[in-house]
Amino acid sequence: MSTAGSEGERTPRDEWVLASMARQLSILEGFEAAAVDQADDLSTCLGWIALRRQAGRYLRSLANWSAFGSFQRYAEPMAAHRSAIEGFVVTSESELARLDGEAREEACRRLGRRLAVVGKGGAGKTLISGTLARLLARRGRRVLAADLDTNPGLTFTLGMPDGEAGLPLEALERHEGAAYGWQLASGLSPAEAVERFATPAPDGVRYLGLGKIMEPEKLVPRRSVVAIQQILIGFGDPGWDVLGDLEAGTTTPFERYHLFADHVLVVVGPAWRSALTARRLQPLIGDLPTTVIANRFREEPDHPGLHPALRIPFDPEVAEAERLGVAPLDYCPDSPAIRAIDELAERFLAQEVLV
Amino acid sequence: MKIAITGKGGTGKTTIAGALARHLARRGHEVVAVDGDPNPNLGISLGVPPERVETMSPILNALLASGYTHHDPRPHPDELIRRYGIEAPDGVMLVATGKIERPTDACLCCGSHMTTREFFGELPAEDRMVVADLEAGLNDLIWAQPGAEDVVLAVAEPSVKAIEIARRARGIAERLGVRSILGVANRCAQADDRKRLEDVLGIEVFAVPEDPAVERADHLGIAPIDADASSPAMVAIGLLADRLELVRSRPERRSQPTRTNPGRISQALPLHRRWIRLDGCRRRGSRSIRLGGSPAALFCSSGQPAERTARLSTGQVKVEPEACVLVRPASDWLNVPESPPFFAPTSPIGAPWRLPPTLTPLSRLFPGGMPGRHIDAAHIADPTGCASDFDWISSEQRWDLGQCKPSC
Repeated sequence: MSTAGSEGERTPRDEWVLASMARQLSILEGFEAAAVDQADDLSTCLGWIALRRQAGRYLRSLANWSAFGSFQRYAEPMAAHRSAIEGFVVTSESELARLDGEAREEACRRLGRRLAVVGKGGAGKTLISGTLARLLARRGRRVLAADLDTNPGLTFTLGMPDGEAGLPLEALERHEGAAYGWQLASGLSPAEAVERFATPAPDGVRYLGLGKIMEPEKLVPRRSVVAIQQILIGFGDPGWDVLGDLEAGTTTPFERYHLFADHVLVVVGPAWRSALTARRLQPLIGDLPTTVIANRFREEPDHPGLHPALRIPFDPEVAEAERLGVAPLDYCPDSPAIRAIDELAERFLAQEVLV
Repeated sequence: MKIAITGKGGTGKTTIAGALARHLARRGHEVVAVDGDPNPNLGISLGVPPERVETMSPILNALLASGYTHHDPRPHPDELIRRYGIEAPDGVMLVATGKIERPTDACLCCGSHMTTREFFGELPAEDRMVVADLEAGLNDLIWAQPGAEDVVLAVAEPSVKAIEIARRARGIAERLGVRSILGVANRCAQADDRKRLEDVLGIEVFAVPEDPAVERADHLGIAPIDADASSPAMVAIGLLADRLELVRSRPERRSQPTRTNPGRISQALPLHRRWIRLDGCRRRGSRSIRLGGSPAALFCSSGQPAERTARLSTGQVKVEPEACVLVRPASDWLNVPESPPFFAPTSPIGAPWRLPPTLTPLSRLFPGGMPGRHIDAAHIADPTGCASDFDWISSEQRWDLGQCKPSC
């Protein structure tokens, strides 16, 4: 099997893979520099934790690449890349070990949570993502909510005007080697991209969306896919919570849209096939910690083998809000389902749900 | 005919696909049910035991396991059905195109969409009904590439999100050249739920009522049609099957249109407005009544009380020769936007939706399965023995609905 080592035989794909690794390292360097720059213990602590987490995400995504036969040709550069990232892991961990325990604990409390929401269609992923994002923002968190579905609905539950979303062309650049031919513009860091292109939503949430499939050509939503994944994985600002609402079913988890997250929420509805989907999702999620949430719960027995950490009750008012196309949080803020999601936000911050 | 079912996740595509396939099979069609979702579970709605659904081999998984690569020629779809299809109740053949099981199944993701595309595109469907349940969202609709001759059902529940996706599904299907696009408003609970979808889509929309029996069956993982075939949603899907038979015999699809073809009316008006008044059918010597090749329901509008009229409409009791008869496609029974006299008192279409007790679902009227072509005395369960009073039976002579003026 050929390798992508020598300059002469590189395909656009090779170029892209190698450039992506270089981009990851430069992002990690940025995190390191920021951590060193901090004045007080708490910020320093946050900075090193952010670097540690960022390195962990890149290692996960690297392990994910390695699993595919088509990446065998990058075995050498990938091995070098892995040890470079592991260098950052070692640095950040030793720096953290030197820091005061209290500062570390406080940093963990403040540290942004990163959450991917998956499940069968209609289970309630978007309801939970949008409502949770706003409830976190109301608690003073900075929240980035991303709709990773080309049939987007997150704008509704966030209470935003519906648009076609997707990133504007100035945030993108063509690259033949990237999936679907586009990637995040090379001069643009994930943090800048969020700053400039994430749309403000109610309660101060910021929103990113893949864009809608409007035509058989699917161009616009395809164009943003790689860039938004790059943004989500690379946006490691420790002060932000990041929530991604994935497309229904197993396809986008298979495509690792959830790799940006530290934790996965699997939403399960009362239907048997919703539980079947949840079981099928488990191997696709990999070793990320997972929490099962039962939605539209009506006192029915749990699905065998799935133990929900939280049960969101069936709630006609939420159904009515969805019928009207308004955010359930605005329409029925005190209804039982919203109260349950509020509890989820509470537990999420108390790290009961999140490891 | 090939029917592709698309829509937002969780709106009931699979439930509708499963029940529709079974209903079509019960009407005597050869039915192939295609599960195009890489997260396949159509089998459950078809009445295949869950453990069998989990162990069945989707086409692509089986091919890859047998050493097939993307460069190899693919076997003919009929051969694939023979090899990998499993039989569901009522003789429906179920095939799944691909299933994502492990995170490293590299070929299975777009490969399963591609398999759906090829299988759906190449499967001969002249003499059978193909019901394809697609993955949630619109991606798979674009993969499946339905064409002019195919039917696309855009399924939505009464939420703005689902309606918006159905609207885009309709746009995409149109752009793909599909001529027959129907909306299905699933889980209708309120009076205007069907109308809301219709207003957005601008096409004919069927209502399937919200139905606790379906929810219960879904929770247990059994096919709603096996749990209770007479529950409101299942009856409505039966009527949708009737309507699809209508599409099947659309005049432009026939090689030789007949002179008495009722096509003009069928095409000119949206189906739910196709009210045709036949004054004194008997006197004019009609022999059989058909509308676009599909069985029609007869409603009597002789000014009798609503309940009685509703009973008349089932054809169980006699129709006075001088009464005027409204002929409506059977598939419209549950899709009456403005209240016709016989619906108003007994069944305001609103929550909770119930069939008026005096209306008999067609499935009960025709226990031997719906006749594909026209209603005929032999098909009717007629406990009162009164159907024969209405002389609408036998022979090839057809009522030329094209000559009747729509009224009411």
